Amino acid sequence: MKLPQRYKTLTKSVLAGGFGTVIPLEDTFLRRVVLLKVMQDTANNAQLQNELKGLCKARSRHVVEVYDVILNDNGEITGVVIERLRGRDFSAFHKEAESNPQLYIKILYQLACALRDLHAVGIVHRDLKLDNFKESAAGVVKLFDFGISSSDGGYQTKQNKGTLIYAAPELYVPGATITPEMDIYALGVCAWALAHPKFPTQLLEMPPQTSGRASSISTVMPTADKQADGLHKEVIDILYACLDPQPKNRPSADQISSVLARHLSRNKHRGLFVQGMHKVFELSAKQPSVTLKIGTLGQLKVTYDGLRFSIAEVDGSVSINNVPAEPGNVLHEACVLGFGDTSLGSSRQWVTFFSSHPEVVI
Amino acid sequence: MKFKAGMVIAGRYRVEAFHLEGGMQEVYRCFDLALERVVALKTPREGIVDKRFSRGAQMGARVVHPNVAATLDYVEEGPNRCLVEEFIEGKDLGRRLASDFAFLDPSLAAWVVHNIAKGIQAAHKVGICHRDLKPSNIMTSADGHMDIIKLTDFGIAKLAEKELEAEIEKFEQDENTLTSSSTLLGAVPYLAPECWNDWSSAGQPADIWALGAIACHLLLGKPPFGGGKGAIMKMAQAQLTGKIELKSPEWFGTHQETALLEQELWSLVHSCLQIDPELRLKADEVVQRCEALCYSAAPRKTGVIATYPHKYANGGTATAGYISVDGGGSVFFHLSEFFSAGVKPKIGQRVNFGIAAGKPKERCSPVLLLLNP
Repeated sequence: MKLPQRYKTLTKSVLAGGFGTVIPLEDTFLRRVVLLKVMQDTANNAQLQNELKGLCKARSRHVVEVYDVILNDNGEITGVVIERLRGRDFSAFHKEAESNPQLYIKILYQLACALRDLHAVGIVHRDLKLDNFKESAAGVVKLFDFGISSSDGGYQTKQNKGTLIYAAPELYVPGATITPEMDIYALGVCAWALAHPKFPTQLLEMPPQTSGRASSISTVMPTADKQADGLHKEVIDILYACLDPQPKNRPSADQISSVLARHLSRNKHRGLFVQGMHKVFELSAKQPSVTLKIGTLGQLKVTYDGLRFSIAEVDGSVSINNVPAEPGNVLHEACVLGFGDTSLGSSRQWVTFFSSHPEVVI
Repeated sequence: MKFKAGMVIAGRYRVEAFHLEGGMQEVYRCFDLALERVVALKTPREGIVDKRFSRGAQMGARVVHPNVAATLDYVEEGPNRCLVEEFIEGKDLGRRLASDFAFLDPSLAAWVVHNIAKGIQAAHKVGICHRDLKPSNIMTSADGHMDIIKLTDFGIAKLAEKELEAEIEKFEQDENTLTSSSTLLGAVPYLAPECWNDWSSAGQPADIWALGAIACHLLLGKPPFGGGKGAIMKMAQAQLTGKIELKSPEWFGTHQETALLEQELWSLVHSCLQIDPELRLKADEVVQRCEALCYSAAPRKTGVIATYPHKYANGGTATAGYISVDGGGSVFFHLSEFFSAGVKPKIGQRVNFGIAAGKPKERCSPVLLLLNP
């Protein structure tokens, strides 16, 4: 393959990668090291085209940047120049997962964001696995191998090229249609690969989980009831649902990313009750419960469970944003609590509630 | 303008339109024919020819982070040098501050500062300083809360260096050399004091100063020492006394829900605006402080105040009203959540706001007064 003059090969060694070859190059114009991906079998160039479309279509902070394409004399694409990720990989992460459940969630959160961004533009990755994501130098987790991503959701695959353990059960049906749910299944398998050196035997069956469902991640990761920063039931449940044999029961990438985002702020929220110009009370993990009572107008007990502020008890006439308050109601970011019946008119009392939490900017 | 729509540069970038002009460069919206995507193509303005343009591109290319505009390519064609970056639909923060925002409420300010800090941290981590950080070098997406915030023009810092040095020298000889179009004048309000002594030796702490000055500008509605030539005098005084005196915005403390956030942001501004570079926070520390802030980064909409005050059927009024939302719909707001630096709500004012559930109409929180176009 003839490279444009701007690129200088750095080593003779070649990194193994999916179905192609990955060669580090120096881009002499920008003086940075980039990676060149070429297909070993030129018959696979159509795949490279596919990969390229996927990468360019999805502007996601969790997907590698594409910089250039290499064309042959016929103007066909034979190679793609992409960003080199210089951060850590996660092949040995299982050794630290147990002692750092928050980082574990943060990695899965970023993978879910990548899938959310891809699925939003109709791209199925089709090859999500532990070897296909890495951290950038700046510490952002990115997907990099798009060997078999398809921008055509209805693509009929004859050869299933995904690495077997990551393949959803429906891929074992001949002529399976590629769907985003298959990526979600693979994300569920990644959750295992990140947590533990061994997969549950049910996941290794072909098709997987023929003899029954694999156990949940809580069997190998610390849980919130045992360890303060352990995995909460909501996280365990959504990761379990990713591996549901029924594709329709799996959560969407969007749902997974928002659940995981909420858990990155667990126990860090601040809930503030303000009346007029005065702060009435502040709820937090340290002060997780309060009862607000205004004369004989009404009384409200609000509790913080580390994720949400919700109404535990109501007495008398209390409304949230003009809707009668009921136990179980969640107090949203900003709302007005009205004490007293509407018939009281201007004699009603108002308390405003605000909640906030540290924002996660990756 | 160097390029016309339809021209193809380096056989790959088809010019779609002139996008905007910065101090030193022209920016075009181009279509990358090889990768079939829209990109931003930057080229030094006519008359500015400098080898450092490529050096700057190389600096920018080393920082790959969501808060730094991605450097995609650098091409030279004939006398033209072009830097290709990801295209961000929107305006730079300088233009936003000139046309949209008189100031930012604490939550929005925290969001912007947090994102800028992450970008600076990524640059400093790989040993790159921006050195010409100012609102016009920060791109923001066009939405109400500026979902996307990216530092750009690492290249320009280098390119501007010679110009700035020359301008500082000229200014020392004759204070009347500064014109409003001068590169120096745009940079002055955000320029760390040590840059005046020796521009080329100023390092990472100068970026932190700039961040502090930008944060101050966001909250105060103007840079810490104001703009124009007056800023230079005040800066010189501060440098002589070794400390700066900053008065916090007058509206601080008028909203209980953000009182703590206001204090924390102002303390961050102070920790960045230290005359002695050694005393300033490091980028990592700024990011840690931002990560500890509790603020709301919820999406915002824009609209116009349609009713205020609200009139009850019995003739009484409430310090509340309704906003008609751009694109349709109407939402309720209350005076207590109106951030306007003391200006009273008035029909016709442009605002941006977060939306929460409510009945009979959704309610807004917070509501930020915008500049009227």
